[in-house]
Amino acid sequence: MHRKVSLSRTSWLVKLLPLLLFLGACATGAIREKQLTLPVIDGATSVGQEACAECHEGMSAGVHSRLAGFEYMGGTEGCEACHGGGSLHVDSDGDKILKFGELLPEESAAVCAKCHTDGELMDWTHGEHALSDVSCNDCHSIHGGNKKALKQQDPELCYSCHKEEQAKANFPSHHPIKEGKMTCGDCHNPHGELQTEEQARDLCLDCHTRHQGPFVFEHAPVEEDCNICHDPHGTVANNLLQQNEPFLCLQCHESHFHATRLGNAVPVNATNVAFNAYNPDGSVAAPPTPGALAGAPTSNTVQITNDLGEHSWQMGFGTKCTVCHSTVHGSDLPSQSSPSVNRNPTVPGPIADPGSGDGQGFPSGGAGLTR
Amino acid sequence: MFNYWKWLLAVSVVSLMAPMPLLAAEAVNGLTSYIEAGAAAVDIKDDKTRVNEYSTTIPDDNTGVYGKVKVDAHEGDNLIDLDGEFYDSDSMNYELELEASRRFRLNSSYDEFTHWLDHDKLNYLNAGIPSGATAAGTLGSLGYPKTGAQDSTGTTIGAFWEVPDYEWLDSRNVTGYIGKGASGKLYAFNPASPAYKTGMISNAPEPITWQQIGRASMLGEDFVPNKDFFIVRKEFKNEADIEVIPNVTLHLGQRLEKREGIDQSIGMSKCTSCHITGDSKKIDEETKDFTIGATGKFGIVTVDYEYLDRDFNNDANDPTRYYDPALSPNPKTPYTPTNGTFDNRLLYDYENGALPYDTTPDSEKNSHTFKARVDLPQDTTVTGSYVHAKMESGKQDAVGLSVNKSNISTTYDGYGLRIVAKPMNRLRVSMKVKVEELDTDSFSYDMVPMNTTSGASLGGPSDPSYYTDIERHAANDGDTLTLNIDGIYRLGRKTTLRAGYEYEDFDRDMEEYGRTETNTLKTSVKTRFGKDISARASYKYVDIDDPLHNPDAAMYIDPNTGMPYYDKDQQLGDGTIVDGWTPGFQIGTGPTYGTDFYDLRQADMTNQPETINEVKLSTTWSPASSFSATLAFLGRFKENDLSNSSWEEDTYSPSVSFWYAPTEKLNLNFLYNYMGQRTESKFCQGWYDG
Repeated sequence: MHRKVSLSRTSWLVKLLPLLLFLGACATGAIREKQLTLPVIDGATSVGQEACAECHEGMSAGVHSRLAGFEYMGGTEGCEACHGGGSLHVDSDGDKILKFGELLPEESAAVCAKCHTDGELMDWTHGEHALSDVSCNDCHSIHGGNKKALKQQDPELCYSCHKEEQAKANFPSHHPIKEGKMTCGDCHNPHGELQTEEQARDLCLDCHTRHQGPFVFEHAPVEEDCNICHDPHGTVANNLLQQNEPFLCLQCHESHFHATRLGNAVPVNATNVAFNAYNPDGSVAAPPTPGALAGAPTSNTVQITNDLGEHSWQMGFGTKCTVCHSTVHGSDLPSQSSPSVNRNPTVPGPIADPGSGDGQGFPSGGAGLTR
Repeated sequence: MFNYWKWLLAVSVVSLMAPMPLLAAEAVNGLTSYIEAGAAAVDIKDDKTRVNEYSTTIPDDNTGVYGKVKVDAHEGDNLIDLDGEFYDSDSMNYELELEASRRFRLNSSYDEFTHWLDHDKLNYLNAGIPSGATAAGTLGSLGYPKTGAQDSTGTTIGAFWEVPDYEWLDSRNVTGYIGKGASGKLYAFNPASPAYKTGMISNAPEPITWQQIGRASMLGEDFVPNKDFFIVRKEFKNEADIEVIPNVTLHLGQRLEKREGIDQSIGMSKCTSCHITGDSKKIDEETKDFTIGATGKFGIVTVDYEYLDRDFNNDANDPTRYYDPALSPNPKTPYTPTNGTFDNRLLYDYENGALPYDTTPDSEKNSHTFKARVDLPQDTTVTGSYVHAKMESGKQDAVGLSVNKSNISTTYDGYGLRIVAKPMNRLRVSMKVKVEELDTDSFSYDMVPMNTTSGASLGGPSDPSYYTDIERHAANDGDTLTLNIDGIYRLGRKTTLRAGYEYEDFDRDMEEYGRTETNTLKTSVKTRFGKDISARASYKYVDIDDPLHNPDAAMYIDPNTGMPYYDKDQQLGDGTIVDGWTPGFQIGTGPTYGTDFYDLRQADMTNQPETINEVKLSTTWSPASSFSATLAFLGRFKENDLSNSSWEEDTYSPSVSFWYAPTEKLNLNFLYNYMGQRTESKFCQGWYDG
């Protein structure tokens, strides 16, 4: 019985919810004016929009001049919605009115928060700008400005404080901000943090969706944060990389042999045909030894000398890692390294326990991101 | 479809805007318009990817006309605002803003521009090419074409033949060198194959550029040396807000982005580590976003919800490379440990034919974002958020690979709570807690090895069982906890002091990458001196424990010697050296051949700092509303000191800027910024054996 009553009450509440929401919504403006800590002119009362217009002409520009009645949500309408009651202002011949330029940042923010609490603006109170004592009217012109009532266009407005980013936007590698195809606001929410509630990487994937994956073979920093390798504000290095290749890569990886080999002699007993071209048709059962094959050289020592000498190291160091590891953002294809590469020649016989060290590396190294 | 929309938009904009200047001239209430037409020219003397990377005026080294129109008309709470800029058929943007009684608001835009992409000429890759072998005479390395007679020393007589068009080389024709003749014909040369001396090297019919193969060498070859690479990015976006009931707004959004063009595709060829080729590949990608959401304002409560559905499709065919069978070893010859092998590079299944590479998989994403804010008395605000997102990408088997899942997905869940309060008259406090969970499907895959009869590698038969059921876990899976507290104390009406602390704990599931804990301290002072001068100073210190790094990434230490090289000799107490191996570094036979030694490497490496010290100073002088001058300085010092590796980066960046607006329509900006950044890393150059 008790349960039945409870259900019945719940049912009524559900039915009443739309009505409650409707009533709450209609009174939102009035409720907020009472709840928020708004700056006030003591003793001032409302005189109405028409009284303001008698003196203040030319205030018809900007979005605030077009607001419809329902957008005030039952609160004070017109100029006095932001500037407070105008009665003392009218009587004092121009004084005793809320002027945003004279309010503290949190006071002006409170006035704006009568309406602006949704979307990007929901995060204002704990955003970096608010915590840095930036005021709404530092960037916005309440009566005019451009489409978003900004005092200047983005990015020029942002550059007035963010000098480092302004300089970086002019570096050789940059997002098309100065070309007018992007703005700071495409990635940053000036009223909060970033234009995403997820990880920073998610923001990049909005446009660079090809790197979204997930991939079979991944590159750990790509999955964690694009900023590990890239600086989105602009770089001297190409492709917005923090540093040029291979130096960026070599901070996490050691370089390969081909960058350094100056030349060396292959031991006579080398069994790797990478160092000799013998035994072409399988007719010789054993690796050639000096003089074992008619016509073969008296020594199978092969000199590997690099014409560039010491400079080859310098030149090789300029090799971009991505010419081979071309899919550094992830791939669904295995690398070109053979899965059979991982045999330890010093361990005779069949492959031992894979975890013993005889066989580590590949095939997990199939993630070499070369294909 | 885009071409259709593009011109439809252009025609619409022009049609709508044509009468506007006349109406404006008649001083129609609330109507302003602007039209500009002109010509622009771009003369590029250098690489356009460096000087005109984003061509937003004239897309190439060219001259063309452009036009701009802007119309803004409003009457009461109705508005129509049109903006259009047309530079070229690949460079334009249009925007339409529409408001009807403020109950319906629409923002539509079309944007298109070209991004010129780099063309890597690959001409630096010969730095690693060794010259010819003395046993075969003196052959020139790449870049040193030889004509006519070649020296031949010793008893070696080289075999020499022409290899037309990459045709199958007979197994007997195992080459020591490959080369390209002046005519473009390909040649191969075997320095030690007396049975097939079909021609003497001295009979070379034309200058040939030789490359020795099977060595620690590289050759770069650009198949499309003169091709321009570019992406044309097109975005068509619509966002609509509809007032459904008082203070409940429905949001609808749609975004279609296309990226079309040609990109360079570089990678290893069939000759893998020695032969890098650059080719072109078509780009034809499409991202379709659809969003629906709603905002409700109910007194002190504001609620936001948004659902996103994203489809990413790559409509371009995958680029392919044509693979010949291996030249060595002879695939027809059963492999034996002594029969030699073609080194260790993947030739997959020893089949002829094209294999795809540089592929871009399709993917999907959908997310739910829910946020709520409650405004309470005493300047107190509580904000909560919850995000659930899922990304998914289809997988299929490939040559050399078998994956046991047809789809792999990543799931993100984020929970946030923020409180801002004013416990004292002059003090504001902000607190934040955020918990994030990231989970990617684990799966397993099989690497398909070459069969035992056609060749495993390095002295033993392949063992297919070893390459099956390889478990793969995502590197970024884990839980992140972020705690933040900031206090802002108002010292005076125009002066604030801020102090903040943040703790972040990223506990990765994959133990290899560990757990990163970050502690951040920051403080700043902002003040205004008089009416004209403002100043801000800030300091930030970040301590990062165990940043993302590549563990055991470098520096092999031989367990026998304790030194970074291999020496199997043993030195007895009396100084006698025994055990026969030549002391020092062994090529082709030492323990640093292959990858086994990876486990013996000891240095952790990363480009992430463990500590950051950052100082920022700036001051602005603004004696008039139309003029300001700013001096600023940034100093940032990062460093890490991991196991056996260290890294530091110092940045100094002073700047001075002036802004002057003599009229409302004219803004003059001047900025000088110096940025000096010095990064010092310890690199590890492994003297490894192949």
